[in-house]
Amino acid sequence: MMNFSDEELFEEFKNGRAHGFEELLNRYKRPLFSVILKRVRDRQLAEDLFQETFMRVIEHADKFKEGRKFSPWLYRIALNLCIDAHRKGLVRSEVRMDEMSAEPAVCSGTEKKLENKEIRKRIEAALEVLTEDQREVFIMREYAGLSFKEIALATESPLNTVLGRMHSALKKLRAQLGSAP
Amino acid sequence: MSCRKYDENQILLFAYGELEPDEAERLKAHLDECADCRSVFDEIKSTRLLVNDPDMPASPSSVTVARLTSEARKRVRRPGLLERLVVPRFYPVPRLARATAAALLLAVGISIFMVWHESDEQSLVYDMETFTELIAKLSEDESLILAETDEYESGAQDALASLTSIEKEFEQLAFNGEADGEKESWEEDWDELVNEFHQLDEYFQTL
Repeated sequence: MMNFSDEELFEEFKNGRAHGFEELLNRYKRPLFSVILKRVRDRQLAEDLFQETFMRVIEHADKFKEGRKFSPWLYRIALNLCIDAHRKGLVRSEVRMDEMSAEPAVCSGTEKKLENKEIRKRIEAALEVLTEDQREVFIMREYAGLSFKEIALATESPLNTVLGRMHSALKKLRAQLGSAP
Repeated sequence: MSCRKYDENQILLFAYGELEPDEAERLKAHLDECADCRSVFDEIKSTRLLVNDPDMPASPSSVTVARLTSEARKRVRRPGLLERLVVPRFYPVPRLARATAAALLLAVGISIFMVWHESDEQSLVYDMETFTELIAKLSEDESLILAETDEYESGAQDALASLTSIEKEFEQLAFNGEADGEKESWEEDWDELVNEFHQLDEYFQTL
C-alpha cells in the first residue's frame, strides 16, 4: 500500500475497497489536521472540520475525475470548510494555547514539553501577523507538506502568486521570530 | 534582488526541493558564485528553522479516525434495496437512480391495485350476470309452468263445459220421460265423465 499513489488508492476506494480510503486517511490525518488546526486555532473545531472534510471526500468520491490530483482536491475541501467556519464566526481571533495542545512528535520529559510549548506559542503569535492568504500558503507548505504546485491547485491561484505569498510570509515571520528574544 | 540569472521564486523552489534535478544542480552551482542569491537562500533556510514546530504535525483523535473509517466501509458495502430507495446521508446514490426506483415502485403498486380492482369488478359482474341468467332461467321455468297451467285450465274448462252440456241433456231427458230407459246408459256416461273430471282436477292440483 505504501507504494501506491494517492490517486491509485482513491481509485481503489471508488471501486469498492475501503482499504484505499483508510490508507489515504492514514497519510493525511496529520498534515491535513495540522493545516486545519493552524487555520482555525481551535482543536474541537479542527476535529469537526477534519471529519467533515473526509465525509465530503466519501460523499463526492464519484465526482472525482480521473487524472486529477487527490491532494489539492482534499485541501481545497478543507480550506473551503475553514472559510465557511470563519464566515459563521466559529473561528476565534485569539489563540488559545491550552486548546492547541497536540500529540507531541517527540516526547522526552517535562522540560522538553515546556520548551516545545514555548516555541509553539511564539510561532502561533508570529503567524498572527500574516494575512489569511499568506498563512494558508505557509501552513500548507511548511506543515502539511504540499508542493507549491499542489497549493496552487488547492487554492486555485497561479503558481507565481503562491510563491509570492510564501516569500512575504517568510519575511514577516523572520522579522517576528528573528527579533524575539 | 540584483541577480539577473535567477529570481526569488526559483530560489524558493530550490530551497523546498521542487526544482527539476538538472535545474537544481545548476542553481546549486550558482549559489557558490552569487552572494545575492546565496543571501536569499540562507534567509529562507534560517526562517524555516525558526518556524519548525516540534509538536507539528498535530493529529486528530482516534475517535474521529475510527468514525471516518466506519463511514468509508459503509460506503463500499453493497446497499440493499431499501437503502437504495431511502438514501442515507453518506450513500452517494445518484438522484436519478433514486427517482427511477421510486417511479418503478409506484408503477408496480398501481399495477397491483388495478389488477386487484379489476378482479373485484369482474367478480361483481360475474355475480350480476349469473343473477341475471338465473332470473332469466326462472322466468323461462315460470313461463313453462304457467303455460302448462293454462293448458290444464283450458282442459279443465273444456271438461267442465262438457259436463254442463251433458247435465243439461240429462235434465232434458228426465223432463221428457225418456230418461228412465236410458238412465243407466246416461248414468254410466255421466259417471265416466265425472271420473274423468275428477282425475283432471287431481292432476291440475299437482302442478
